Amino acid sequence: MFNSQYWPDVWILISRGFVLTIVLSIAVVIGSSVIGVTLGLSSHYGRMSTKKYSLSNTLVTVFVRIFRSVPPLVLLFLLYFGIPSAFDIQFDALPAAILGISLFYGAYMIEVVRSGLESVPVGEVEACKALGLNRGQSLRFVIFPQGIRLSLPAGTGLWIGAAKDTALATGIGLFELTTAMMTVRQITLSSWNVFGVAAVLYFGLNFGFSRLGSGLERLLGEDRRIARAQGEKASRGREFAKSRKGST
Amino acid sequence: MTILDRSDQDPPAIAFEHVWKRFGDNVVLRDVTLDVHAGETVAIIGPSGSGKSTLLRTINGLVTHDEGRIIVDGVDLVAANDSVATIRRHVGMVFQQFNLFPHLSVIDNIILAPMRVGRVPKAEATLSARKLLERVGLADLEHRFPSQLSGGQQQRVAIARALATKPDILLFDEPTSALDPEMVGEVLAVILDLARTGVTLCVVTHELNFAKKMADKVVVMDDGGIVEIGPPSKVLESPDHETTIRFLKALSGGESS
Repeated sequence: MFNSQYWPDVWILISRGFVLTIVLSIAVVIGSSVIGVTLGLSSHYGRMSTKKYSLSNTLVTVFVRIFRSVPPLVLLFLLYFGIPSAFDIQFDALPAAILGISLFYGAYMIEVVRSGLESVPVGEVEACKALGLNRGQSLRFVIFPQGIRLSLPAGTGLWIGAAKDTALATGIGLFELTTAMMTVRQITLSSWNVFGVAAVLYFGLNFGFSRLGSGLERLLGEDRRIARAQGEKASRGREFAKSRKGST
Repeated sequence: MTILDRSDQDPPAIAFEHVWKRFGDNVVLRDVTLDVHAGETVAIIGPSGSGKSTLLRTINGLVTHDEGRIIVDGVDLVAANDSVATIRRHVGMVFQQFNLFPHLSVIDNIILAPMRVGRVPKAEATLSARKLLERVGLADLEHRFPSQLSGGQQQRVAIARALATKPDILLFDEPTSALDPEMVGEVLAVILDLARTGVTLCVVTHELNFAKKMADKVVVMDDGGIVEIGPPSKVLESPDHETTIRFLKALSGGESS
């Protein structure tokens, strides 16, 4: 594919970049999900209160407004260049990239989780209240298990977005896939091949995240859940039938 | 008053005193005063939009009233921060749409509240849940999920779930309105059975024959207010109020049989 005189150095560069991109992607997918679930839950918990004003909800809203409104590249610059110059804190490029992209996508993820929790029918919430469950118990045992599944399709989209935007880390000098490809382009003087390979690798990575999302959706979906819960009983039944067959 | 009338001796299980509720400009409860005594079975009837469901929902605080007092089992609903929580431990509710938890099996639906609110150990909660399932005629369905049950079965599970916290007051909000006609009977039979056990029942219903059979007292509502209260033999057979007469006529017109 590339001129053989650069082989195998080019492929070493590409694999190094790709490995870092995979690490970054997994980190930002986890980071944004953790932010989304914890803050989404606490905001919803605040909204479930009978009081008109909820501090947790207001704080989360401020968080969402701020981090949703700043371009992720600017967040990376702020963390990597801005903070060390203003305070006595040194941020390495890797944690800066993970934190910046997680904050940006976490802000979106909060809204996705919150909308999932809010889509749980109001009758479920009323049933919890009537049974005497408090807010925390209702959230833990009834609303979260149903709401999180409703959040998954939109959440998977955000995972893919976060994984793609790890390419921005090239802006703070991290040697991930995009940086690696720019280096390879300078060596080989070929752009079409180089970025074609980059696109294919990004696609492959995100295909994985798509599959992860739809897999989780199925796993938490009604059919599988019922099958799992009843599987134990069914397999016991089959063994029973087998043992009876054997004895006759 | 007869000797059997408990109103002179015991405080009522549920007491409404001049209760008002508005949603914006819309008055949904208009100066409601009503006593329900322990063990009594009350049917609440009336045209749709007359405030029946709202009245029922104020009893366990699902709807908060604006004015007046509601006292349930001696506890004023708005007196203290935790009074609603206290009352909900004594009051069970069954909804028109069942509102079972779809992600939990039948048995898990029933034991959730006893375990988490009543702090009953799982084994003990499961045992009592099985007894309740037997009582509503669903003993062999404990591992099913709500989506695998018929409407009538779901509603009977919902009744078992409401009973699991051992309430002394049970509220039914149109328990058979969402059911196919052939399933109404099985649910009403369970409720009738409960009425004989001494638990206090408040049932919003359109089933007049059922009300006649079950109720000690029929409450007729119209436009947010109570227009008539009395024993079913009086209210359902020779009503005084014009609304009741019109409403009964409309209902019997619907039932061609």
